[in-house]
Amino acid sequence: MTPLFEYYKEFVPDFAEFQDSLKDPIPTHLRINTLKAEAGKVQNRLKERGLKLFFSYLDDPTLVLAPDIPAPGNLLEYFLGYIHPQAFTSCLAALVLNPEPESYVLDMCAAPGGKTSHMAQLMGNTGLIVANELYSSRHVALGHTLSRLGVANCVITSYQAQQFPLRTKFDYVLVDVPCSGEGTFRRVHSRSEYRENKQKALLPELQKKILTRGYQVLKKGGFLLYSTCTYNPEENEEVVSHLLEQSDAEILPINLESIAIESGIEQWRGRRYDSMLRRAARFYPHRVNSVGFFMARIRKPE
Amino acid sequence: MRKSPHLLEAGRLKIEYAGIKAFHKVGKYLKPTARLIQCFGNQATKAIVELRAEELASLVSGHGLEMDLALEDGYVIIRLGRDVVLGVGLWNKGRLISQIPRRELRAAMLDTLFIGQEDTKF
Repeated sequence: MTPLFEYYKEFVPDFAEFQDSLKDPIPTHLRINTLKAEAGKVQNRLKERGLKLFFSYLDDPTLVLAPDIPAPGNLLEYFLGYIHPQAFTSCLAALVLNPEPESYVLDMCAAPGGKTSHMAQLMGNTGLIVANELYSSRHVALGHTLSRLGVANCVITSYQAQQFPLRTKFDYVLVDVPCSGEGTFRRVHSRSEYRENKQKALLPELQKKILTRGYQVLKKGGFLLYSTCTYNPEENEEVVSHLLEQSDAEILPINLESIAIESGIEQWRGRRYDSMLRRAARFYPHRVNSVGFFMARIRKPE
Repeated sequence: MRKSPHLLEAGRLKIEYAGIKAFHKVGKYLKPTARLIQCFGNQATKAIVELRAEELASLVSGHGLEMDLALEDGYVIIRLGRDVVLGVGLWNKGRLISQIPRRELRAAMLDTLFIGQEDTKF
């Protein structure tokens, strides 16, 4: 088998274990949607039907591993909006940004709506979320997710994220950018092949622009989360470093108890990044048994 | 959302969609959407049809249900057991027809319900 992502060997810990983990499928993970049902009741109901669930994050009863459920979309609970299939690391994004009830939130690249709806859940359907999605073809999926999950505090806009209007400022901004998606790859069949995203080299410029605009529409004292599902430092630390060079942005530490987080890296292929990038978080499949992920929690000073 | 102070701010943006769609216009009638009913149907006090799992399975398969219920003709709320609000049905002269989109509520979704079917409470 051709080794994968060899070029990341210098910073991925326990690289052989990392490569081994790519042979396993990403386990089914569910978020229980408390906008529509109590977490305990949904868990009990699924367990009574013989479906095994395991907590994936000790502090949060809404996040469960469901290895017995290969197709959660076929459950009645899915139709009812009680559950949403969402990767564990993807769920962490809203938890880390942690928008408060009654706040004003922007999700810059919202479709298909998993993180948007999670934020709505954390906000108790209060305040207002602006879910921005450029492509109208993705509005159907976004709207469907939001309505299925009972999200009532959301409006949908259709701006180019990097040109989102500056006339309004938000308490929280989620910048979950289009990326090369390396973290989503699994070699689950003998025929599975990793195909590098053809746009990969072009992505960092777009991501820098989107992050810059996201910071510009953030209120002073507000919080922003930059996230991707790739291992590529050029789409991760380099993009955040670019923001730090041109603004007063601060990177805050990310505290997720009991979760194996690796720090952001400080150099890659001859480029050195701001030392604050160590506060960013990298999530690897052999550590968290989920999609590979990157996030940086950013604050705009008062 | 109506009560949110941020609505004025968001009004300065070009909004494509807002909130949850509440009603469709069907001829001269307003039909509530399944999603609206799922959010607020548990507060309803009338026009409710409560089904057992096997009755729901029959309904979802496309069969109407003949039932002896004292209901006015029109849209009704379909509930599974006492607590699970599913969506909208049409009650006409003693017969119930599902108005829930069949591509969304599929018969296969009900298969696991028959394990422990005596308890359909959520």
